[in-house]
Amino acid sequence: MLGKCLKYDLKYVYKVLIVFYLIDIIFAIFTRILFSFDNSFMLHILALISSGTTISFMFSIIINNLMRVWARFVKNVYGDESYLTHTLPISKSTIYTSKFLSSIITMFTSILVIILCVFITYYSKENLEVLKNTLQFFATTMNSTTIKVILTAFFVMFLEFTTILQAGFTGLLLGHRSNNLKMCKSILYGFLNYLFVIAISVLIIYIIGLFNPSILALFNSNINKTLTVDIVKTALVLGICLYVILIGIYYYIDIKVFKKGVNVD
Amino acid sequence: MELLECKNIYKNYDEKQVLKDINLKIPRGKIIGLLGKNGMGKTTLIKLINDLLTPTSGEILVNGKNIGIESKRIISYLPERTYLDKSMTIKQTLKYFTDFYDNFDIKKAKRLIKDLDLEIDTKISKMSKGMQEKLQLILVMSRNVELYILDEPLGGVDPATRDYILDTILNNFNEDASVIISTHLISDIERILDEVIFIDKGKIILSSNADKLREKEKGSIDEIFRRMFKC
Repeated sequence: MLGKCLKYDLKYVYKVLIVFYLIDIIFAIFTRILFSFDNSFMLHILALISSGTTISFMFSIIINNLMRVWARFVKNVYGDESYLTHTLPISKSTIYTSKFLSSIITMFTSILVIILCVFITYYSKENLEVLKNTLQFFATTMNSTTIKVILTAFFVMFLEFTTILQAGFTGLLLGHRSNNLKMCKSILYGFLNYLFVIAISVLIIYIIGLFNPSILALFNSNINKTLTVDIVKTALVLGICLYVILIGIYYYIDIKVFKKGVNVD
Repeated sequence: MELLECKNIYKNYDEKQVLKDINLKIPRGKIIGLLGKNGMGKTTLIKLINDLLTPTSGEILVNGKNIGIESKRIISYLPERTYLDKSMTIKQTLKYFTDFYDNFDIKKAKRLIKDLDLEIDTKISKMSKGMQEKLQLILVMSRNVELYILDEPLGGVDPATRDYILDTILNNFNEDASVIISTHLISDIERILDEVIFIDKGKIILSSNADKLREKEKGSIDEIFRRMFKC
């Protein structure tokens, strides 16, 4: 049943998101073509405008993705459609897991499309060389490889957006448990949840730092003098692990709250 | 074992008590009218049975088990509002029902849709509200279940449509199944009722066999209702 739920949830989100993907890719190609005419001032201006549009569509993709998965959740779980959703012979955890997975999958593809658009728009031998050198610099500094740096950056970005999505879902679940001002409370709880994840991550790193002076150095005001590659790497790994654990805990709590039942208007 | 049993159900919204000590047993093979004025708790009770609300206290059992996947498999529910995804076509909606309900009779649904002269590729958002409600009724009645719960199926419709709705209900429900019809338009459904439950201010004030009640009170259910709920 999870597969069936996921199919309908993905259909709903992609129905609009694919339009944004296509527009962004078209603008990226258009920008690239315009930039290739380097002897025309007017075409260069047009290329800059088109480039700006491509970038703004990249932001639109992320914002739309976030809004659409949350809107789907509200409509499907608390709106008119909830009268069908909650009477389907499937468990509450299946309903929630489907929403959560669909948000992760769509966010993953959105980030991939954005990377693709950046590649289409700005790819050139010179730019690639600059990028390679920059990544190589980071990789050497971190005693790592370029591939690992790219994957870490992608994973951190992906985790950050997943945390925002999860905080939003938790906010909606908690906000809709009250009998009035449900949407206002949902937004407030969602925002507080996100802040809580950040605060608790910093707090845990600080507590670990109490037993490990090199980690505690991150909280030192003279950080430039004490910061080493090892400290940055440890903090990064710790941060990623904490985010993954917190997303897991939030997911577990959300399912527990959801299983207690809903109160549909 | 009763098909549906409600034990000491209470439902509060903050300080407001909407349902008070509801005790109810629904047998098999009966058509039951859940009757009461607007805002007296009929829909709240139905929403509790369908897991759309959580009771403040009390227990609801379907075939002796708590509300869950099994109960949802054997209950077909028609709410008073349109719950279909309006961006879908009728064909996609039929696929949706086939995907999730193993007891959904798609042939019956297609036949009833054809009787309404509806094109299967019509988008739900392009249909009138009345047509959407009829489609919803067809989908609900095309499931082979043990209990049909219909919340205000006659509300706000013209007399001709009322006849269509009643005929669709009577011609399509499984004979071993029970049907709960919530309404305040009693005269229209009186003829089909086996049992009646009167609900007032969140409490069940009367539960009886329809024929026995008519005999005892020397009048139609509609007259008895008007007498009992006179403002």
